[in-house]
Amino acid sequence: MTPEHASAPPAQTEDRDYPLEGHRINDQHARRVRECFQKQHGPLVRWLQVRSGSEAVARDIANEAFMAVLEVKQPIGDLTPYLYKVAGNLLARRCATEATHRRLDTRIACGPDLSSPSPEPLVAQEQQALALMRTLEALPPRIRETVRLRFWEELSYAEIVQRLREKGVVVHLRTVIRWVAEGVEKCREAMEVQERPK
Amino acid sequence: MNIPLEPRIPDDRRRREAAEWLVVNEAADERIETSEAEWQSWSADARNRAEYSAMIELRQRMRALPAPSAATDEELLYDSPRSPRAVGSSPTRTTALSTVLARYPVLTRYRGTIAALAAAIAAAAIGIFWLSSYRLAPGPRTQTFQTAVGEHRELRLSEGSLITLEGDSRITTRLGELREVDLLKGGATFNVKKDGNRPFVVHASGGSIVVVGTRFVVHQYSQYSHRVRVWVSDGAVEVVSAGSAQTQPVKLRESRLLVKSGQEATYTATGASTAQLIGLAAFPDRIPGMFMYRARPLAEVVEDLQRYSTKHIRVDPEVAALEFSGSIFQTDVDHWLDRLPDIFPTLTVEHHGDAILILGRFVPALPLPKTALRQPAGK
Repeated sequence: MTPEHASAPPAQTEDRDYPLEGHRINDQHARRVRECFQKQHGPLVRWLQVRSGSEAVARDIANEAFMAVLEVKQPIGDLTPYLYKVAGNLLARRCATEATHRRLDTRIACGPDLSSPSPEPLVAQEQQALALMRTLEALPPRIRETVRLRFWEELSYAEIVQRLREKGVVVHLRTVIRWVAEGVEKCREAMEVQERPK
Repeated sequence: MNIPLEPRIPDDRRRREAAEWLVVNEAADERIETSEAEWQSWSADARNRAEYSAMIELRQRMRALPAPSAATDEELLYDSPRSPRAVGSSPTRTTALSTVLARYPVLTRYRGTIAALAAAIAAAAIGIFWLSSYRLAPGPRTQTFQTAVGEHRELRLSEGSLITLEGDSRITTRLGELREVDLLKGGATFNVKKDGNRPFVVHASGGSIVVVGTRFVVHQYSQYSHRVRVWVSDGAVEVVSAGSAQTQPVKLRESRLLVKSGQEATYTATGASTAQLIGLAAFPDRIPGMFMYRARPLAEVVEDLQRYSTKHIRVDPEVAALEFSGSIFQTDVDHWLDRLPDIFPTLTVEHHGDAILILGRFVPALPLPKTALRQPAGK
């Protein structure tokens, strides 16, 4: 929570409308959004950072998401899941636009006849990707399966627990989180070995 | 003075903590309980932050990889000893290899070799699959189309866009990840089908016109002005001129020019580009078979007409910049050339076999008397 965003709730309790960029925002709704902001801004930025890979993009989208939630006219039951949904959609749209621009920039910068790039970075990239794939394949089955379900099938931890239970493996949600963290740690270890100067 | 020493945290512990934070932060939308104060305290250390950034980078890399193989039910049940309780667990672990060895005991002595061989084949297969997934990916389909002098041709691309190729023009189309057209010569009208995921790009004279879905005309002039002109009658396009594309790839987006409906843009090989609003009457594709001009250099007009005449038309550089406004039927080029001295009294048109020369008349070096200026010749 950054100090400039944190502000004390208004002293008066009666609801009133006030204009914001052409919309009229209900005061009670604004107070709920403010409370949600205080609790969720940090976690939302980190959630977006992991997905986008950039803290700047994460902060930008988090602000956009809060603005979008603030401007909603219909009543919303629980703000937090709605906020994450909005942020996820905004991120997906941003990623799609950036991917298109990246493809265009590369193609336009290189001209219509694409000259062959230097093979060295490509080879290094291939080696790193292969090392990562080998590490993933070599993970213990339960860790590999939870990593796969989490990162590739994009299941929630509760859903992973349920999926494992259906296969006869009864574990707590915290254990599943620990397994996924262990898988990530092993991959990072493999990357460190790969990046170490020979 | 005693300087307090920071407790030394081993790298593997830092790595473990970073991995845990990554996993927990990624699940923020699932309301996994975390302490904001703990995160603030942990991320205050620069080395922790660096390790966390490396974790995020790793996560991004993992997105580009294919999923690891799914664990079988058997593998899940009889995983490592430190795994938590499993329903109906059994002390013996059966694998495909052990099943084969049980059936053919003679192979037991080669167990290690067989396992290594199987692993090598699996790794090679994965490697080949992975490499082939992008190395052997089919490239874009390329086709070249050309029209003869005076010919008009309509091309319907497989993705639905319509290209009307003008006379004596040549294009190459490439339909892959992008829909690309190289305008090699002449002019064409593009009626582009909207597809947000596959932008349509026209390359001409080193520059590019990027479009999502619209109708526009491109003319490439290679004789006199070396300009490319773009008219947009519907939607919008982005013009990226050659100078910006080749010399400033990083600042590419900053030097793009947005051309909206009702505007005309020009760019040259040096990168200079402009966009201006023009009346709909001046759009070249308004009436098929007719060129419409407003204050256009004579040389550019002639270059357009050359694509509809078998004769070689040459313009004296002295008069090439004269501006012409009006309309010309593509089937009536010869007649227009004959009438040219009426439009521009300072011009003469000479016929020499297959060649037509547009020349400037002799202009006296001395200033004309004021009465002559009030009453131009020919009136």
